[in-house]
Amino acid sequence: MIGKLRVGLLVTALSLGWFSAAQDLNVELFKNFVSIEHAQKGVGYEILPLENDTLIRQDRFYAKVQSKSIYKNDTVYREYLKLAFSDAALRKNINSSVPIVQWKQRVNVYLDDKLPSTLSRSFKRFVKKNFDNIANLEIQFTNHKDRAVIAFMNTSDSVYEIKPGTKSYERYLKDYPDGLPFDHIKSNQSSDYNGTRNSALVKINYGAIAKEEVALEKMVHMFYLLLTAFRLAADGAPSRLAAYGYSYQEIADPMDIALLQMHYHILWQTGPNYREFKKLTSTNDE
Amino acid sequence: MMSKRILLLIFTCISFVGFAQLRPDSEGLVSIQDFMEETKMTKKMIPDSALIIRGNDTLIKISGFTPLSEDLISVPYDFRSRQFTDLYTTVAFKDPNVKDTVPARMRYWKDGMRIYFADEVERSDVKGLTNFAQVISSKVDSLDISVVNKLEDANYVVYYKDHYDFEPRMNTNNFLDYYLYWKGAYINKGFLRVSKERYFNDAERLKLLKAYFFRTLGYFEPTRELGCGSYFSTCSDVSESLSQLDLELLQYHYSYGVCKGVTQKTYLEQLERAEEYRNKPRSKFFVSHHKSIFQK
Repeated sequence: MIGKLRVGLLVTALSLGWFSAAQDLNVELFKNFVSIEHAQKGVGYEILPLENDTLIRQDRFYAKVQSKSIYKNDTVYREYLKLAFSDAALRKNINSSVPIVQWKQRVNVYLDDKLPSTLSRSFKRFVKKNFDNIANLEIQFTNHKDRAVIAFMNTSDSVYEIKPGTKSYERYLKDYPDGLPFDHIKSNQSSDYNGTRNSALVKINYGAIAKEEVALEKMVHMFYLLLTAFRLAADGAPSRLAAYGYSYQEIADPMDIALLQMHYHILWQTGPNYREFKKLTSTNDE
Repeated sequence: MMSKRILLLIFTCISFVGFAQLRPDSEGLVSIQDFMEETKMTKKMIPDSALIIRGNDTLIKISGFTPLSEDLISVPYDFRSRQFTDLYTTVAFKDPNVKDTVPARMRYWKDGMRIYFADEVERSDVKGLTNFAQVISSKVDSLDISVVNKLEDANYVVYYKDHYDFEPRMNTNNFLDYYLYWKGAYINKGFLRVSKERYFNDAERLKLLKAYFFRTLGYFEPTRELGCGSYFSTCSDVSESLSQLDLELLQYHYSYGVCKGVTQKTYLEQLERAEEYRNKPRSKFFVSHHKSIFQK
């Protein structure tokens, strides 16, 4: 009887813990079960007895962000919110589940040896010059495709996302008479719902592009998007990597670098969504 | 032949309660008073058709003490916690069509999986997936997995996209996909295809193969409730090996302590009925399977 009472009290206590957590919002979105052996004492929401173990649900909370100074630049911060999160989240301030997407491991990049070597060299130079000193973002080039996480592969096939002859294509051509920013280059990538970026295959039809500087522009532009998963701004200046109409600059726009630094300032185990991020990075309490 | 056996399975996988303290006679009959005392049922709850009048006595026939049929094998019910069965319900009953014309049903391999790796599959993928399958097979009773060298001996093929297409019904646009065939609840043929061009990273490709292979062990529905790392999550970045929770969910799927191959509705109904007897020390809840499902 006493045993049952104890269990009852434990369940009630755990339930109360859960409700306060749910209101707090700074909790990751999915259930996290930990073996009772490794569970943190006195924390947990529900017990999941198994045949050969007992699990305690201990959903992970985001740790307090220690260094918030980076978020004090209001211009960069607002731009970051605009690019890193979905439209719906921004418009309605809803608790969208779309998280920040990041590379959680070293970004090993493979460049197809069928691409012109001068193009590859220019690309590597750009990356080293502009992205070398971003905390928590390590980029390396590799000759082993099977160990890379981003592969730029030359192809003679069409890679069009928007096919010529369609209304969308015509509409874009009005804005970009010199060709769409991602003509003849296309990436296939995916992310997990905890915000982890998985490998990306970039196909580039160099033969169709024909010009090295144009190919470089497209590759650099695409690479920035793969690193950040940002939404592109339609109205951005041509110098901006996060803009549709990006035009190659040897030195990346300082705003794009600042955004990249903000993006990788913390390597989130689970990427926070819009509301969580705002709450976690708020500098009002400092 | 197969479809008749499946029908038989569905109708004969039944559950019943055995009462330890009741002493039925040789015909399995007990007095209605003893029965009501044991079950806490009122007379109104017992249909007249179940009652047998013998002289001045009103009796009721208890199933479980007399064999239901020689073709049935009874197994004690596999009780698990509510949290566990809730999770199981989420992952085991995949709705095969969005229009909901076919009820969600658990599906499983009855006759074992015999995997054939197509010639183009890299050695690292063959080795990694074989090891994974062997570990699962050793830990899950009634799930036999083996690797065969001849295609004609196989009922499961692993191959790469842009090579010979063993299963053209698979979506041509998907870089990673599987296709299962079943008759009723029994999965009897499967195909797993990955694009080596798209998944060029060896470690990632093996992870994905393992994750998708796991899903085909029961036509599972991945869930976002669980953290990435679980083989029941929708994530690509699964752990190297199964967690205890993943393993026990799979073991439960292949346990004979629950009715196998049933619809979600039947499973939940049975779960509810079994729950009534979970903490009754004098009664025992059984599930009874047709012998045929134990035969290979």
